[in-house]
Amino acid sequence: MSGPESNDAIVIGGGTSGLVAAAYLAKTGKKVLLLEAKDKLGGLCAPGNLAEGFKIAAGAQTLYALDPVVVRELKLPKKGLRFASRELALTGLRSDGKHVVISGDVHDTASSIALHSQRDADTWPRFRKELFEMARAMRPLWWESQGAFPTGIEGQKIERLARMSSGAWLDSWFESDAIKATLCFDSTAGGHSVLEPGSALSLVWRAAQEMSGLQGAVAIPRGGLAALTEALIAAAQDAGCEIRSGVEVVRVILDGERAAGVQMRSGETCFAPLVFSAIGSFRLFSRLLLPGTLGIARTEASRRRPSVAQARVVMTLRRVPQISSDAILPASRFILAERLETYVAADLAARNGDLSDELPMEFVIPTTADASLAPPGQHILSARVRPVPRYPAEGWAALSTRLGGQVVASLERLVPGLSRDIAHIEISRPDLLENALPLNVPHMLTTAARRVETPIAGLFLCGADAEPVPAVSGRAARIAVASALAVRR
Amino acid sequence: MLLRYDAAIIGAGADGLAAAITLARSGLKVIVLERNEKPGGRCITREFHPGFHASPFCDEVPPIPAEIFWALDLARHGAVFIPSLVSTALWPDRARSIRSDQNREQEQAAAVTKAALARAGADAAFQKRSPFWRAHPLSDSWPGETWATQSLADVLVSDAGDDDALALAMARALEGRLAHPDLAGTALHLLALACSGQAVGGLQSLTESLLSVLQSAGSEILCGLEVTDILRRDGRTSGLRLADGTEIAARAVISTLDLKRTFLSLFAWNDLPAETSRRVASFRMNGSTARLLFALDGLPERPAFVDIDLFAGPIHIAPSTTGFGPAYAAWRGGTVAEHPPITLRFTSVRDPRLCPAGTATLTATVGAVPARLFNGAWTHEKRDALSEQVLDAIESVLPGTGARVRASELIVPPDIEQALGCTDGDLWGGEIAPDQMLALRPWLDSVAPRTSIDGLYLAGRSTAAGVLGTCVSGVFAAQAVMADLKAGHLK
Repeated sequence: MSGPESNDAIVIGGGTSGLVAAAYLAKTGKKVLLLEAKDKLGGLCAPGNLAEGFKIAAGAQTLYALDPVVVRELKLPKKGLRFASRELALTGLRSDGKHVVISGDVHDTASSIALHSQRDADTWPRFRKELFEMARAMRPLWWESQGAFPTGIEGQKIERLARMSSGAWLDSWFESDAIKATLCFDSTAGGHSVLEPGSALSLVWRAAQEMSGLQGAVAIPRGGLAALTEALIAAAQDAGCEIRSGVEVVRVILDGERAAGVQMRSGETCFAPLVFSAIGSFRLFSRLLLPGTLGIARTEASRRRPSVAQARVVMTLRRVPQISSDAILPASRFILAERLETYVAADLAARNGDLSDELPMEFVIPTTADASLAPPGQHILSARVRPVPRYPAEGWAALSTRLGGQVVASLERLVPGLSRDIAHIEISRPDLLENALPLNVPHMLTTAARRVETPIAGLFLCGADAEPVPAVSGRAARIAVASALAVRR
Repeated sequence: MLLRYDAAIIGAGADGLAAAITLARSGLKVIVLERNEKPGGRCITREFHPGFHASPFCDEVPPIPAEIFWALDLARHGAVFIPSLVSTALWPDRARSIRSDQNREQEQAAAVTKAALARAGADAAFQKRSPFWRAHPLSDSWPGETWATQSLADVLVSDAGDDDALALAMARALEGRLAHPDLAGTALHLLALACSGQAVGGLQSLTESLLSVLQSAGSEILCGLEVTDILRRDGRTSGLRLADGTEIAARAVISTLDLKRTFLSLFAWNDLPAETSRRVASFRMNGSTARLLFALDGLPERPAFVDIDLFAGPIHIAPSTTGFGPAYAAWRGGTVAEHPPITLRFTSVRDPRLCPAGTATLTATVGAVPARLFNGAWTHEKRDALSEQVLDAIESVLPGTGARVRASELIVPPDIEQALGCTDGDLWGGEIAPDQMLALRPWLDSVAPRTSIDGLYLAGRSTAAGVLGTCVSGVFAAQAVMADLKAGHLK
């Protein structure tokens, strides 16, 4: 099928992962075509259209899993990626005013935890050490294409942890709900309940990440998350990649049992021996491939979808929110969840298609770290709420109104007067989880090479759900390209 | 007076008696200690109303594996089980039945159970502590561990044709317990099925036959005295102290109490290694079962749309695939759900000697009943409200039952805790969850039945084998004691 029109590789989806894959392929001298369905590139990190003068990414609110190898090899700092904040503290906002601030400083953190429990404060350094050690032991498996599961004592601990829920794990370490509820938010990524096995492993996965050389750090780029997209576009284009946006792929063309190209909505076709999918695997398997292409087991598995989702609420504020206590760091991410049971109740309600009375959420005010994101004096508050129902009984439109009201009301309780300062509010359902398959432990513990491959030769997954836990990372894309080229060779 | 034994066994339930028989038969000097006046644990049957008999805590237990059943010679001593041939889900307007011999999950669960028990048995009989952990995750693991990452719904949905069949399968798997069937790891509930069938004469008959075998094997049994302490010398178990101050010296101690009760009530808290106390404290036990025993004037009318012998097997009241989640949520919140899962057994249909002629006994097993209510203790009013609620539910599918009730007795989790000593009234020895099942039950670095304390062995429902079958964990603990004695590990 080669001809003058054909490419060496086609990448479907121009989000972070798609751009990374395209840049890597182009760097090796391949003729690459990247196709993005929307007009704007970037996916979750595409510039959102909030209000005039405000810069906020369409879906993601912080960066915590960007692959350091990608940053280095694609020379992203040279393409303009800088950080406004390299390590955001994690602050659990408490209704009693005794906020828990968890930062890289073990002693400050311990003294903040001591407000709730001296025993937990004493436990914290041991917990952090154990978490970080397990996380580093898992890096080969999670970071390299053929990495091995850790052996020895770390391996034993991970095996046990893989069967554990984050709720049970944190319960075994800490006694105070303040610390448990603050740490638990990160374990619910990918739709896990805090009662399910895999959620504790999610915490380890978070701790295995590294931003700017800091383990487990959460960062905000200067100029917002769209700055990452710009840097990646520059990297891909400089390497010679052809990028077309506003072009939706509707079918992956097969030649026997091999991927041979793609067909677009316009009917136009493009051919290449390698096809990389950076879109959700649910969409890929159920829409872009003809029914029956995959085996029965895979089709069956891809039909199951997570029953919980996450929502995002972004608001513009006329002035900086005054959070009463002065112990709070200005650049932090804040968790609103009083107890572990808050997560359990929200999850059980979400599985029943409803919202619980208290919704766990994480919010950031990126403008306190980078004033250029908003007009002078104004601010952005970006919140991620989960778990929320994926199939709301009342429909998403009605639910989102109720959700917005509940989010504002719970923020108002901690930041009195906040609701009067809201100029604009936007509620969305970022599709990071929407098109993904439900997370499961075997997926998290398999090798990266297995996660990126599909039953179809020449078709590779490189998007967020080829990561152990879906996230803006680029790691799966890097590994997918490496595996694809290794197979071809 | 100091009494000296090779092994002392705490608890004269089925597991404890099976352990004693196994040890005594090999010529060891054994004593069984029971807190209650009568042996049997949950395997007892009593007269709850003049002339009416029922086993108060459960009607069926996890099956006794055939080889153990025959090795213990139970049939000769009068233990007879009648398996239920059919289970039915009954709604006000329809019914759905499944025959046990056409039940794929049950067959699959039985196969996995058999393999898992073989694995547990091999661990018990091994003389040294075996290298427990494998190099690779989720590959060379215990049979059934794939279920640790799957939800009950995942596993059942492929076999069940429609929603009613799925609801019935879930109700069977979760009887008397609770879980959200959509959460990963809940598939393990399939391994904890109590499906021995009903014992003729009630579960007491199993106890009687075990006692009769025990007598011929020549072991002592002492009832009515509680063990208060496990004695240790030089870090290893040396014996027991009883409530009246008597000390009993024993080379090995087998506890059939649950994990928490064994470690938290039989040792001074500062007597244990810190890591052990932390692990024990974080072991989750969930009381969730209530039981209602009814003396009836007769069987209710069989609904017109039912064409099978409904009353010969368990009847699950109006299960719904979406009902278990809310019931679980209510239980987490410390309340009884609006529609808790309820399973009925008209026990006298298969075993008419349980009540006078012309009458009937009915037991209701209610799941998702919290041990601690959010609004305080289980008062008389709350008990009455629960009885009322259950009776209403029965009436909704079997009209006329209420009018036939001559007497009833309610048993809630705190009653179970008081009678049997199960922490929080948890009849299953701990939550059925991936981090507390199979290789991880009760925890990872002791090859159950051995514990982290030399000379102390754990049997009963808190061990891997204890959930999978009856009598098995006792036999395994006994085998571990014999292996360790032979190898000279016990002084």
